Amino acid sequence: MASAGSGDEKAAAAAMITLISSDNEKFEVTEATATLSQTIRHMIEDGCTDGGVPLPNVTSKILARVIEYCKKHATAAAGEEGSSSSFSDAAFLEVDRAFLEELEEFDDAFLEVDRATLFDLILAANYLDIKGLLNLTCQKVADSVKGKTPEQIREMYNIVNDLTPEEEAEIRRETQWAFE
Amino acid sequence: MDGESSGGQLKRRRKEPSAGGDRLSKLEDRALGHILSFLPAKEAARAALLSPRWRHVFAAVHTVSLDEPEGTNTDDDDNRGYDSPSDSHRRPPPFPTAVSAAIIGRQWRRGVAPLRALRVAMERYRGHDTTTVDQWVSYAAQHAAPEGLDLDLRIWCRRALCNRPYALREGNNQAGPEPDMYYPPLCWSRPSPTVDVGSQSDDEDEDERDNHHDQRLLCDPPEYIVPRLLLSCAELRSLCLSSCRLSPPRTVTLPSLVTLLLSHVPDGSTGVKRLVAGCPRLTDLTLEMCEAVTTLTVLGGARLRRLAIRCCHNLAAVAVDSSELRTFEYRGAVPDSASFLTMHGDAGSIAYCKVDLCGAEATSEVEITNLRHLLHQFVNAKHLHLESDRLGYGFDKDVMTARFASFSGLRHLEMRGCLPNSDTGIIDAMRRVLEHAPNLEALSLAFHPQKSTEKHDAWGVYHEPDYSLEEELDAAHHLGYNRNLVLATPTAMIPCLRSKVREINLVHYHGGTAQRTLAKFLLCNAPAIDKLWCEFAEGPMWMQVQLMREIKGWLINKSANTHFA
Repeated sequence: MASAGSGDEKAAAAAMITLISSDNEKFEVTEATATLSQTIRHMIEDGCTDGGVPLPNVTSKILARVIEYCKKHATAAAGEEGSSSSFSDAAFLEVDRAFLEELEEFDDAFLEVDRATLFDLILAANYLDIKGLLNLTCQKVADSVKGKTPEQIREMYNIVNDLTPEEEAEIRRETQWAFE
Repeated sequence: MDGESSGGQLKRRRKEPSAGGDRLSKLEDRALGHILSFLPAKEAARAALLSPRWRHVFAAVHTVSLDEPEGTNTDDDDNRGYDSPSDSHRRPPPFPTAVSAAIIGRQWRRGVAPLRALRVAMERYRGHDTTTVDQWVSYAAQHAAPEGLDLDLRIWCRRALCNRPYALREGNNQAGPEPDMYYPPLCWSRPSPTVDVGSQSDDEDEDERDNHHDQRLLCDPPEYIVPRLLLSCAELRSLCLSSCRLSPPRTVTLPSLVTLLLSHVPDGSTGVKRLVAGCPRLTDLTLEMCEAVTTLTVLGGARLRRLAIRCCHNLAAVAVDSSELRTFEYRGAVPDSASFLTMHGDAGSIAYCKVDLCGAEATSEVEITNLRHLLHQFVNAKHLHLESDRLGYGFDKDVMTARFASFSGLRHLEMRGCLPNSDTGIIDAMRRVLEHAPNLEALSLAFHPQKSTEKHDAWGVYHEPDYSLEEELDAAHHLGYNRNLVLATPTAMIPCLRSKVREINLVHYHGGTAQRTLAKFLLCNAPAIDKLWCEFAEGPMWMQVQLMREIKGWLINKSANTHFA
């Protein structure tokens, strides 16, 4: 955690970034928080963040949640000295058990949202290109359909099935390997 | 649900979508592909049946994962693919066909996403699968996503990690239990019992590729050799290979490789060295059951952050640049020599260390001294995990503890092993361990079920020799509880127990005399505990309740957070 603290100090010395939601609300965040978004990272690199970053696809309600996520995870990333090998960092972080548990609890609590918000978060994470948030939210959807029949999935997500029986037979034929 | 699907579909077509509608299907292909990438490939492909919108989403799936279901293979290998027509509709096609179909099923569609991961675990491998497996690997390497590719190829995926089961030694009884069943079946292990694995350790290494053909015996299982192009794949970020031969060329170029796991890889030290030398960004290395590797050197290039060595029983010397090493895991026999592990650079940042001693209990002073030398290299660890046949192995001996360093940075100690009823040394051993960990905050103890052929009945149930006479023991579970037993527990002034230890976890607690004595000793001497977690071994509820009451009675801080399962 000591290294995480020094990461924060470094970030504080750096410039703040202003994010502007679709309903024109302004959010001031540190660069370390903002750059969890690859989209914003590229904008910063290109020097086009002066005067704020307009995010016409993200409402203030969702942006506030996204920033909450990024703030929490930026602390974790700072501890890892900007390592790009994020996928196996969990293994290295096992040493800081308490912190890892805290992060997991945060993620679990973060996902306690209604389905509409979950989809808004997926859209925002996709648009802003925030890898961790996109994984977290998409994994939640994947878990919800795992082991379910197509009919159960349609029921769950209001998917209207307008495949004709012929089309269905064709799909079964072309993906026969998946039904064996 | 399957049965009613056609009727359900008809109703559904007439029904108006409810409020909010179908937001899932409105996501763009990239997001849907990402969602499906978390599912096994067959499930992901079956999503095509949801609606026309989903028909080609499989092309956007970037991770293809297939595990061969357990026990689907029949023994008549040679008939595979040549089934008589009457059989073919009953028997599913062989697993490799499904993997190839998954890859093709993705590829024939338009706008196919670059591949981020291919994960295949197959139970069996036959010589004639070579071309097929080569095609998967080549496909993955050629369609790798620029941000990185993970390749996980496990052949013989249900092979046991190690053929050295934990085994306690009771008194002079040196008769070891029979080794666990080896996988692949015994007929494929080396047939001559006189071929001692230890005797192969001096080979190496330049002629290794020529030699191994001579060494291979007729009944060896067929071997898969990874294609060369994989070892120059610029996008490869994570590589996990099981039962594959690398046969690396002199120069390997894997500039992006971060994680490498080699399991049951038949290559020797030179092969592994060549591979590692070609991976400048390698940070996470695991070697598992690589019996032909005798030395491992990771110096002058990659700076590992995690190194795990499991059951490489012929590995005699490891040298590693430890300047960034944070996690070290070892499983095997007690290393032969005090200089088994050489760390170059500051080893002070190693925060997690796991030492797991497999095989029969080692009892000689030399072994215990060697273990002490090994552990001393992790004196700054925050989290130490010790596992062995006997819980607390070695710590009851003076040769271990008399010159044992103080692990003053240690916060969490995890110990796993068997604690048989007859064990009388555990209190003393635990006291000595704790005295060397002055700042310990959490202690986790996991009790292995006792594994010894003589003491298990046909159901694998553990029977302590005179245990059933003395204590109540139901024949169908692991729990024991004798309400009349008086537990002798000394009070002890152990600094960390008195003021630092806040958390104790007991896993697979089965309430034998030694376990109860140990639990009482710890709990009655630890006033600062505010979290107690106890998971009982299987058994009748009334025994669990009795044991739980007893444990709660020992707890000094009655307002501690307790959890029993």
